[in-house]
Amino acid sequence: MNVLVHDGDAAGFWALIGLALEEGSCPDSVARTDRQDLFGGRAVPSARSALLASRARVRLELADHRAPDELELARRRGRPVDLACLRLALALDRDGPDAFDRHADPDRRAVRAAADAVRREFHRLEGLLRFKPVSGRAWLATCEPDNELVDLLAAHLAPRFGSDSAGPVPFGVLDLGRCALAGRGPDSRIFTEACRDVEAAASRLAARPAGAPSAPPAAERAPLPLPARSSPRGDGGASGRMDPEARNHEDRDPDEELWRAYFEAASNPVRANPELQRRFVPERYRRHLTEFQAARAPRDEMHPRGEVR
Amino acid sequence: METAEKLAILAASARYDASCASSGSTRRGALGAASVGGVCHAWTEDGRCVSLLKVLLSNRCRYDCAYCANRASAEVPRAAFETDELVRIVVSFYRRNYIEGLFLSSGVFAEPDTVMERMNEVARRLRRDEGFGGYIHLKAIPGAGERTLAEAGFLADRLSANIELPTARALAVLAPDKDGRAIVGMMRAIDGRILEDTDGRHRSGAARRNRAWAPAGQSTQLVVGASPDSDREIVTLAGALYREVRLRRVYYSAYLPVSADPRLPGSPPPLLREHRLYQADWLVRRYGFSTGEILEDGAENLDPELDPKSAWALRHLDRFPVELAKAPWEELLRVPGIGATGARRILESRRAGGLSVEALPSLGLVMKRARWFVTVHGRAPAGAGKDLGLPRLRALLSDRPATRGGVDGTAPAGGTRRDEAGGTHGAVPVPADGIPTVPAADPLQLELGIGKGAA
Ligand code: SF4
Repeated sequence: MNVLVHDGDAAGFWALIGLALEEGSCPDSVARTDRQDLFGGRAVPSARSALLASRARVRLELADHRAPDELELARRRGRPVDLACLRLALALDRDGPDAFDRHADPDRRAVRAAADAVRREFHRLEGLLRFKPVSGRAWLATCEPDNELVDLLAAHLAPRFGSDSAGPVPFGVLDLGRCALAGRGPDSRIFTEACRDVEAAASRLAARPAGAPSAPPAAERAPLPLPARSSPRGDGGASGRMDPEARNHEDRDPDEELWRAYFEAASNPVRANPELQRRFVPERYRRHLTEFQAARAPRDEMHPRGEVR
Repeated sequence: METAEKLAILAASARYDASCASSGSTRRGALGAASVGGVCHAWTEDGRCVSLLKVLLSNRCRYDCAYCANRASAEVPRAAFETDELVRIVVSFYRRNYIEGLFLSSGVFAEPDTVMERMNEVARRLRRDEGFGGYIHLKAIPGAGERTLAEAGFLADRLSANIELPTARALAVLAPDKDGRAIVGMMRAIDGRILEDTDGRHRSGAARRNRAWAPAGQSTQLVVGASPDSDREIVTLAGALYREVRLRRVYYSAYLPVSADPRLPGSPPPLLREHRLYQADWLVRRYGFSTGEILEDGAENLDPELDPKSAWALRHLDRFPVELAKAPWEELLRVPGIGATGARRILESRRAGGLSVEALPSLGLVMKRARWFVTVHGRAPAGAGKDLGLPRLRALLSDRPATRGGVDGTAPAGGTRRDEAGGTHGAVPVPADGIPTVPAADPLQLELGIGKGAA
């Protein structure tokens, strides 16, 4: 059985497509793992990886200009559809735009469904991220998206933070599930990197490059409670508690209170339709949303996962 | 008064404005940028999208519009923002990603020009002092001067003057301080400025969005069900507004009782009526329907049982089934259950040689509706293709939700316009059957060319 493996990141995915295009054939299956030794599949030789990846993008761009973006979005899907991506890439290489427009083809459908799901969640999170001030001038938002999105979200949100007297304002978007942080660091550079939790993210965003001016203005300096990761199913919530700093933090952010006051007043009780609201804001997003967090959070009301009942 | 209290009062006062859109602009600033497609940041418990911080600058008002919670005679807490106070809230909320920008309206607490100048001041501070590049929607107050309007258009992404009610007669009864001609005059002034900004040509796409003056155009809102005007009046008026002053959107807001004024109906219209008007509006704006096609054969009101496209299709069964392997774009959009995405995929599948009856469910069509109206290479979808008869087809296409009455759902058929509390709607005549008789020559409608053979 012909099994190809890659580590799940963009470089590995595109190198795999490059290999399939070069060989003109599709494997029987694709696995995402960094333990090739355990899986026994064939990986793209690392020396050729970058070249294969860039060739794949160019070749598919020429086949149909819509293809690279669609496949890249599908790659980000939490439930991978790599084999369908590979088969579609081969079909595109062979048939050009017709392969993209055969909407009933099972591979095209799988790729489209994955890309659409990623697009939908991206658009949702464009609005549903909530930033809080952390570590001086930096801002941080946490989320647990189904799909790999933080770098896209950070790129989209960068203009929102502008600059202050110390330069572009640092900010980050932390995917608690994937432990990935994307944003703009104190050195003004946009980055995406592994990051285990809120505390690590806050110090990453606060770290100043050598030679940079010291302490920026102290406005909005107070660190605010940010939730830790939701507990994985079945562990009783032990791993997902609100971080201790948050639990002990009695002072609430006045602008968060203002936002909650606004959110409540903007709704017309005569037209209440919580079902519709639930459809637009599913429960899984709510723990990161200021407007769904109670204004006061006495410690005994803390849910083990950090939610407030 | 504390800022939080003011915010609660002035947000509650502004929530009757249905619009909260932040689309249509590509503005960028040192702090933020508009997102051309608009972004929803929250959904309140009434299921509405919060995209902008929608507040009044002040809820004090000299006018006494019967349907308005902020009218001069209403006994409600009054408040007003200081410029600095509101600017600070907008910047903080924006950074935190709570909003895309600001929607600022106001009660008429002074001369219209003064009120609008105060609103401009907030927008000016945001744009010039904060470098704010997010979205700003400003309400244009009829009666404000040319210079004030000119500056508002440079500061705002979108302007709107609310038409409020569908006829001048209804305005005279329910909002006697308002002048329909002045409202339309303000819309024409905005449209004229937008035209100037596009060198006299109505451009589309990027050229339109990148304009400096009100790049997201203008919109309006009208209250549905406060006066006994029919859907025909409303749909015709909306069509004229799109045509005459090139509005980007008309918003419909179902009247909610705010007082026991005898000029007003005792019960609100069903929300379903508002929903049907939005559906009809969509057909006119996006799918090439004329307003005359929405309500045909002398019908005064939209069918509560059917969406307007299905209703149209059932009146024109001779135009179906549509052969999807051949039909042009415009014809595809007329098929119930086929929207723009479905139509595009049909055309793409046709080109790629992959269109078949079996493929239809994978193209994003609403097969529950579309199946009765299409064939592919002469074949109908499974289960369709036989003559069901109109009543059965009608029942199959009905999307009327369960009846709950009032604003919560759908009032029983025939009860939608009637004043159930026995009110008389003041001077506006309400015939016993609930369908109003409106003279053809209403001044507001004439102002927009309705009744001059322009509809
Ligand atoms: S002008 Fe009329 S609708 Fe506007 S705030 Fe005043 S009373 Fe209300």
